[in-house]
Amino acid sequence: MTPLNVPPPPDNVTVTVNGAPMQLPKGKNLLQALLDVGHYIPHYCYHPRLSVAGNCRLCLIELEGRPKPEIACNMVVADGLKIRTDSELVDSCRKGMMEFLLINHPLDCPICDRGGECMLQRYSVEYGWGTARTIDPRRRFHKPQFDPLIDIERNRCIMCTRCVRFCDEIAGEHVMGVFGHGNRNYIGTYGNGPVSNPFSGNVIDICPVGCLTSKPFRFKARVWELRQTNTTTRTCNGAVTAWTRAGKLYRVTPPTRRRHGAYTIDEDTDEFISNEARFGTHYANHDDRLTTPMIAAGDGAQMTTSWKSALEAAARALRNAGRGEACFLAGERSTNEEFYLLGRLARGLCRAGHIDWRMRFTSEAAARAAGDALRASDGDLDLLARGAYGATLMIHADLLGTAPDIALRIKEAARAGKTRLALLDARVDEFFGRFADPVYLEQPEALATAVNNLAAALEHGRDEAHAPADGAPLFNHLAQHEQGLIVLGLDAAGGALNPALVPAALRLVQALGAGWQFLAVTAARNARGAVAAGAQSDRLPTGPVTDPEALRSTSELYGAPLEAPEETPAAPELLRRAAAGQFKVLFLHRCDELVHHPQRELIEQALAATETVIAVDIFPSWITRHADIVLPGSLFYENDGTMTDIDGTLQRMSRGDRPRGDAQEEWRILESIAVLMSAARRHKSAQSIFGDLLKAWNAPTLFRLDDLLLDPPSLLPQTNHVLLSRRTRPNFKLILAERGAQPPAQAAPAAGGGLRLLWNMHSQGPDHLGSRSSEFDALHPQPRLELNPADAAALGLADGDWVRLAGGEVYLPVIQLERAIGPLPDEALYQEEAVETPA
Amino acid sequence: MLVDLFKGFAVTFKHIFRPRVTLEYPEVKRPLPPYFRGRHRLQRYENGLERCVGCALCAAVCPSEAIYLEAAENDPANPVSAGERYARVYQIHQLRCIWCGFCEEACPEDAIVMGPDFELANYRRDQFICDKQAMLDPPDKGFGKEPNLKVNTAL
Ligand code: SF4
Ligand code: SF4
Ligand code: SF4
Ligand code: FES
Repeated sequence: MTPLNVPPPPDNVTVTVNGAPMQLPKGKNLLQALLDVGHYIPHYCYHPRLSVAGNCRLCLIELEGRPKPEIACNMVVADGLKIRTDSELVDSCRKGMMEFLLINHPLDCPICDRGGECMLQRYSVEYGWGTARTIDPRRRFHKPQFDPLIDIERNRCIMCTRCVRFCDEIAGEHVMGVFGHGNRNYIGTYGNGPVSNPFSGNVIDICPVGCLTSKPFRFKARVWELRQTNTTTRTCNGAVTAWTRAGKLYRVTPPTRRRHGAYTIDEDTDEFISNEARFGTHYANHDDRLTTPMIAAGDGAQMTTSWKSALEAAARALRNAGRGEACFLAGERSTNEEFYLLGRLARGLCRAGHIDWRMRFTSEAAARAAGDALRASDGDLDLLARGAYGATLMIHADLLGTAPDIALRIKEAARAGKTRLALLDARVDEFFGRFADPVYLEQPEALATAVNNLAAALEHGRDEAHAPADGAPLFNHLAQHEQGLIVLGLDAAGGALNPALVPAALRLVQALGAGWQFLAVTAARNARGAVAAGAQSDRLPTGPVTDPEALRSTSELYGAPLEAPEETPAAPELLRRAAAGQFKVLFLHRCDELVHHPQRELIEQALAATETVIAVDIFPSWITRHADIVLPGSLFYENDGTMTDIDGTLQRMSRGDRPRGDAQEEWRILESIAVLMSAARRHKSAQSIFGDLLKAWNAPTLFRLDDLLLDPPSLLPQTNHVLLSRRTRPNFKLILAERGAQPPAQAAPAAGGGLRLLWNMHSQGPDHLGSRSSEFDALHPQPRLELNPADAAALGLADGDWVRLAGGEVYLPVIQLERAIGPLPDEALYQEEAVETPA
Repeated sequence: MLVDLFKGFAVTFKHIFRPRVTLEYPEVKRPLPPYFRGRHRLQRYENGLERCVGCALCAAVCPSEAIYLEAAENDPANPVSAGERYARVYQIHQLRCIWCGFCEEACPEDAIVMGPDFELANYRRDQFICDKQAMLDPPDKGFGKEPNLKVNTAL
């Protein structure tokens, strides 16, 4: 991999702050530059990721040569600037502003959920008056209810408009606004509607006061009573902090930072988390946790048992399995350490056991293609944010639905002008559509051909003469840039991953040259970790299974002899073989994706045909009820280990609480089984397993797990393996949630007439974990049908009509026609995935 | 030796004729100073609403972690306290409490005060966990006006 050129940071210039010279980067926002060097200036409305509004006036400073104080947030660093931030004038400005902001404030901190982490409280203590001189009655507004997740208390608002700018600029939804005028102005949403974007929860964090607070967390606890665990979730990319007390999860926020001596939510955070990470993780509090090991007691019944007997039974079953008769399926949300231990169990301790993780695919070809794509991924979203990629092309990537955290980072780079975004897809949404140019729409199955044509044209030459007839703008867009990024969605709208798309995209990257990188994106949380830690049938932690050197080094790490397997079946094939009764033991490690899998009959057959089914899980499901041995695992704040983000960043998962009941961390379970099978303990901690992984990846082994919690992480081992992809659902059963509006008795006839239905997988959709969140209903978008305006006109359908789909008793509301966001290819219906409620 | 004997008796007789300082407790009780810190009481407003809003500042400041509380949202039609929040569960563990009075000082609503009751003996340890009902003043013993939280804009 050739290192890319990253635009150099700007030069430093000398600024005199309070009489002392300081080196600050030229052209940078002055307030931000001062904050970065640790010179704190109080501010409310300024946020590093939002445009400058300059309406709180708290950041006033004195600028030499100006008669009046100026706001720092609206100034850029220039050579020779002379400022004062400690003069009497500045002090009295801050005092005055604080008093002004508090004139109408209800001062109800004892009731306010923000108390303890409120910037108004903090600045009042640091810069305020200490007493109120106001004698007039304070203004009090009505309290509307507009969002199921966000509570608003307008009286406390200081009109910084951060929330409004967040929705407009970051979340890309113009939904919040300032209404009224003068003393009567207030924050609200247009039409009192909900803030329905997948990032809406972040307005709670960036609101510097207690105006916007979290409904699920409302009055549940005070922030100082909770234990903070910096960890990562099993469902979303990126780091989070879990706030818990006595094993119960109270809230999930972006990682807390040390500020003013205490760990608090950094309201200047630029690590926005999606609602799925914030509220979807509330499944942690669901009551039906598995808390004790269970074994089958005959007649389909199960009885609880001790860990000792359950683990011994598991080890016995695995030991008795003959050559190739043990099959390990590793859920895509396992940690790297779990993948590694599963690989060791399957390959080192069972005789030629099978292991794979690609269960979300229903066809072997798609699974293999996804494996190839992930292995080829080398794109880095941090480089993207720093402007290393001049151009970015997203192919068939329904990122907002499948990986919102990644979608946000790519869109932000495009919005900030760090890259120029182009799209080649079957559908375009407003989120990306606003920042993308050129945009190409194709039928899903034509995408591979389009990509191949582009690649072929580029192979001939980069000047315009070679451009394909109908794709000249896109061709030029790519050909102009030496460095760029191709993003391929493996889960995109339209159903199955077309296996032909992966080689086409890789060919395109090849044709574009060494400066271009590739990133395959999928909703499978730890897909890259599975490839890197050797939980894929054709990959060992140190390399491909076909490489003798990789076999040798891995067998050293495993402490067991390894042999090259004759064949490397992926998960779809393994499931098929299991259903044919070819395995004696089926080990299902956190297989969340099987619970709502489209091929349910196949899995049922596999469970019935296998002698011993061992399941590690945290919630009961029809799968654990069929299992012979059930081993209860742990939550994301009860477990130690690491996860790999889709761009290869390692995230630390750390244990802040004991697992509930008798449940155990998964790595302990797997290691205990390994000990029972081989009589030698290799790992006493997650750190030691991580040490093995570092050796396997040739990374510096002095790196500690806890280094991942440093801010910023001190170094990241480069992992070049990647993988995976898209949930295909040919025989997906649609069950509409009983929720909200009911379809009228007479819906229009099937909006059919030859239109083709494209399913869209939604990351907040039916899910073993997410559907147990108390906030599931609020998070999940209503199933809906999107339709090309031309088709709709032809069918006589309007926004809000209900239609019945051909071939089933399925009713869907037609929506979004009015604000159609970029056309859909003609003749395509687009459908959000429907909801299945947990069994 | 005799001299010493008389000296000793002199002390004894002097004390016999001094006024008595002991009391016939429990029939007779000693008057308490106004700042006495006895069993906690939760006060009310004139109209009977509880003053406590469940802010948990008392629990935060308590050096022996004797206070446990869970807050909840008031039903606007039938409020328990003034404001949106009230203490659904409020317990003080009298065996843990060191009677420092910090809770009283921390309380922003003048809700918790330490009363004159010092007779806390009990037969069972669990009876030392005092819950809200045991501490609340009777509804007619409230004082002070509930704050006016009426909406005063047209919006
Ligand atoms: S917003 Fe801050 S200052 Fe205002 S009531 Fe809430 S905690 Fe107190
Ligand atoms: S609600 Fe919060 S973020 Fe929005 S304007 Fe008011 S204070 Fe600022
Ligand atoms: S007694 Fe006072 S300090 Fe304690 S929770 Fe109630 S209002 Fe807050
Ligand atoms: S931060 Fe500068 S005006 Fe608000």
